[in-house]
Amino acid sequence: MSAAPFPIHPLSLAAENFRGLGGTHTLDFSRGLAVLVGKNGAGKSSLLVAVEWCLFGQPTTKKTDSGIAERGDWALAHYGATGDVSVSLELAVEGGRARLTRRRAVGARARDEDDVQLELPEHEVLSGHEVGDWLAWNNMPDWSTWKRSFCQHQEQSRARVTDTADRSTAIAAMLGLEEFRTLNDDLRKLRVKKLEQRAADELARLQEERRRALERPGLVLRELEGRLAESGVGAGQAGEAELAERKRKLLDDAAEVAARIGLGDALIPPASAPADEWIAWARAWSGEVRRKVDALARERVELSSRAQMLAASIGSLEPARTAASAAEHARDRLERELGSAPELTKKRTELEGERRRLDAAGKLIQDALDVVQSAPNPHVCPVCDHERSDLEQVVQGKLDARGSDARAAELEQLRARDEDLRAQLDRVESAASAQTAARAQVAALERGLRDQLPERTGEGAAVDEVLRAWRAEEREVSEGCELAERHVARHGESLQLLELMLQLDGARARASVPAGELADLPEFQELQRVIEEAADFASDIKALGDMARSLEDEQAEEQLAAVNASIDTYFATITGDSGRGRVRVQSKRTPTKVSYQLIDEAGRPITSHLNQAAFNALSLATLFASADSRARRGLPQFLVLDDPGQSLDEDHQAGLARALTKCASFAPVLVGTVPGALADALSGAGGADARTYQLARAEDGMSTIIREE
Amino acid sequence: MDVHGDLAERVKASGERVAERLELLRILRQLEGAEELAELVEKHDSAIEAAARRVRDVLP
Repeated sequence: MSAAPFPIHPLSLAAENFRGLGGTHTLDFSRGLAVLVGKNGAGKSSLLVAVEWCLFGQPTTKKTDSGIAERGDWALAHYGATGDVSVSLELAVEGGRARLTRRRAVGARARDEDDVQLELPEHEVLSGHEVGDWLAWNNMPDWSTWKRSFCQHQEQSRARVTDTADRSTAIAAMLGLEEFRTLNDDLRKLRVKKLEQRAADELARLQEERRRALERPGLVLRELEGRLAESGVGAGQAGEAELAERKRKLLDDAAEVAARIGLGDALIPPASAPADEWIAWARAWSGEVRRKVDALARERVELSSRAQMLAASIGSLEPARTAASAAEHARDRLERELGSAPELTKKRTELEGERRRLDAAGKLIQDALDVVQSAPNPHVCPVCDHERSDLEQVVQGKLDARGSDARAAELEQLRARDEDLRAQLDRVESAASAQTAARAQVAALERGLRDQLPERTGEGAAVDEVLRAWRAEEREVSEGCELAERHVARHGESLQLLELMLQLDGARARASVPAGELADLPEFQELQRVIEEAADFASDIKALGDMARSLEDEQAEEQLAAVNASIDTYFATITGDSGRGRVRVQSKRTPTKVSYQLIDEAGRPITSHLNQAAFNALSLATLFASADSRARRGLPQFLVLDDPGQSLDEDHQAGLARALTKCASFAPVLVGTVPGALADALSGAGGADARTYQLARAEDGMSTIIREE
Repeated sequence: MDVHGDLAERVKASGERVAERLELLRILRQLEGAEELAELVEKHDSAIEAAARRVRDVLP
């Protein structure tokens, strides 16, 4: 694939609402040289920058991206603008004309993208990133190249000849070696050296780890011997016989305890078991014993509780029996003294009958008196008609004979006797209840006791025997638990020691076997293969870099004469110095890059002794030579210069006009300048065929084109 | 695309013929080879690290 052969170049510009320019302004580049003339603030720079903004957008409007100080707080649209900012560049392209338009809405935020559109011949329209891709594909410059080879800003002019990187890149571009230079930069940025470093680091680390691994068996051996010595086992003792003896004792101890706490010896391996088997058993054994001890402890607590309850029951039964017997005696004595409850009840019934009879007799006589008193004849008995003059007195007398006082006294006597009987009855019944309760308590205690005892346990001594047996069993369980606890502690220590002895055995074996070489490991061989691959890769990259530099060097030699002539010619044109060879390019190759220096005829760096005007002239000459070189190679070229006549006297400005006129023969040139020698020279007075635009600031503060020639 | 493999072969084959070498460099630029090569640098770096880790894993 090759670059498009047609050198794209601008034909015209249309800027709307851009910066301080009110309305729409157009510039025509068809004559090759377009000159903007105006006093300070007339809008020249705005129109020049409009070209850059149209091509590159935001990088041109930010100080950090553009590297141009005065753009630090740029406003893209003029204050009070109501319409979008828009700049269009009409371009001559292969097959016709194209229009590149960049728009930005009023009030757009910093992160909002510009609207970019490219209308190509045949009505093809590109937008967004497609536009940038198309321009790059057609060798249009990027922003960095533009700053270096297409424009003249105040900040840029010095860097072009003083900054080594800028100068070298600009000259490399002039020599047609940008491609190799960029490639070399890209390859350098790859930092393939870090692969060598990584490989070296990893290998060193592995060697160190291997060294430690080789030392480790000896270290482990010494550590194990030290720990065994702390446990009272000397290095000489820790042999096979000692290990077997300790192992036998460990197993015997375990068997004894197992028998004592009822674990049985089925869990214990035989003495002939392999080390890994009995070690596994020994590690689990403490847990087995602890589980059994926990179960025994629960059993002991239960036994203790049962014994305590039985003792309590035995202790409370005898007093209850004594109390029941006392209650029985008390009841018997009371019944003998007062009578039984039925007898006392019977007496109370008899007293009640007597009281009722007494009440009935009194009531009968009262009824008789009522009848007599209510009869029609008080002297005739209304029952038997017997006549008697004192009938009422006789009945009254009978009633009086059984007078109320006497009857009341008799009734009171009866009530008192009944009270006595009732109190006696209560005492007898209470004694009977007490006796019943005492008997019930004895019965309950006896039942409770029987429930606690094993079946068929007799009374008295047999019960005591049960209690004694329980207490003995409790003691035995308790002792078994204590024994097991002591065993577990001892077992742990013995096991630890045995494990150390086993480890020592293994460590001795390992220490006696020489370690294999690192290189014998398949994994290490694979690492070496990976490192070799990386080294090959790094070597290829280095070879590419070397090739890029060699090519740049070779090509530079071939092109240097032409570039020297070009720079020197432009420099002489501007300064009016007809002497040849005042400026030359010198290439200098280092292991990593090629740099270029501008030297004088004596071989000294030329920037070290130039005055300001010569400095500017050299910067401009370099720029023009660069543009010349691009144009000769068929690459798109366009020059935009902002007040390039600064620091130049009238003669130099006239020379500059000649140089610009020459440049305009191979590329469009847009120059902004204040009125004066350069403006005059460019606008026809010097014979140049230029289109001139006079700019001024109007009364409303907006810049505008007031005349076009 | 195996940019590295292609380039390595072509670098060896290109010899001293400037025209071929120029073409080679142009291809590299057009393929945005630098970005792909940067990925390859990382890939080799990671491969060394991983291979070294595997050796460490088997060290006694």
